[in-house]
Amino acid sequence: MKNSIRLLRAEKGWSQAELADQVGVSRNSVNSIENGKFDPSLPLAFRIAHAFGLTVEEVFDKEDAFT
Amino acid sequence: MASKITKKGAAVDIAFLASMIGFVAVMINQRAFTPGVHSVLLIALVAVALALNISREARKEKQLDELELASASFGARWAVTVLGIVMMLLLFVTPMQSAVAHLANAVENGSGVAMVRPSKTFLMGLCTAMVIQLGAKSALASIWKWTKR
Repeated sequence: MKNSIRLLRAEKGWSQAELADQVGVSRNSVNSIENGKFDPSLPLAFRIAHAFGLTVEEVFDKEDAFT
Repeated sequence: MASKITKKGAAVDIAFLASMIGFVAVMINQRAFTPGVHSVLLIALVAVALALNISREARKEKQLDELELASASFGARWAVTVLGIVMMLLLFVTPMQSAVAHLANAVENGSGVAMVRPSKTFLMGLCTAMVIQLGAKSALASIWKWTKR
């Protein structure tokens, strides 16, 4: 699923490892999600959105979920 | 805290490896012990190895995140298919059959317990299948994770 994690991370100045620490997953997982290769579970999507202070829909492209 | 957990994990891994090596050493050196002591040692070492392995797996399970769980699940699901295909192919590959037979003879000679041919074939077939399935599971999980990079 497309998302704006890379952009949001760059705005905050966080590395993938730092975001991974915050949401409680490995750096590999953040990398896979960021590249749209792996769709996170709902709880993890909420944790990622919460880390950026945004909603899930603001981080993940909901249109992509219907295609 | 994290380094304490890592050290404990490493200690459990080393203890598991030591118990497995001990098991093989005791199994091969049967003549060094009386039959009773030999059996007790083998049972004790298997029990220790099993207990340590449960602890290792529980620790690993806790550390897995959802990407890793998904890769493990993929590996486990498809390893059975790989096992079926490989076992079918092995039926037609004579050198592989000879290798399994040689392994069976080596184990039989080392343990000093004479086995009848069908049980030897069955045991070695079972061991080979387990090794193939575990190897395939691990390889498939790694490949799946690699494709998600």
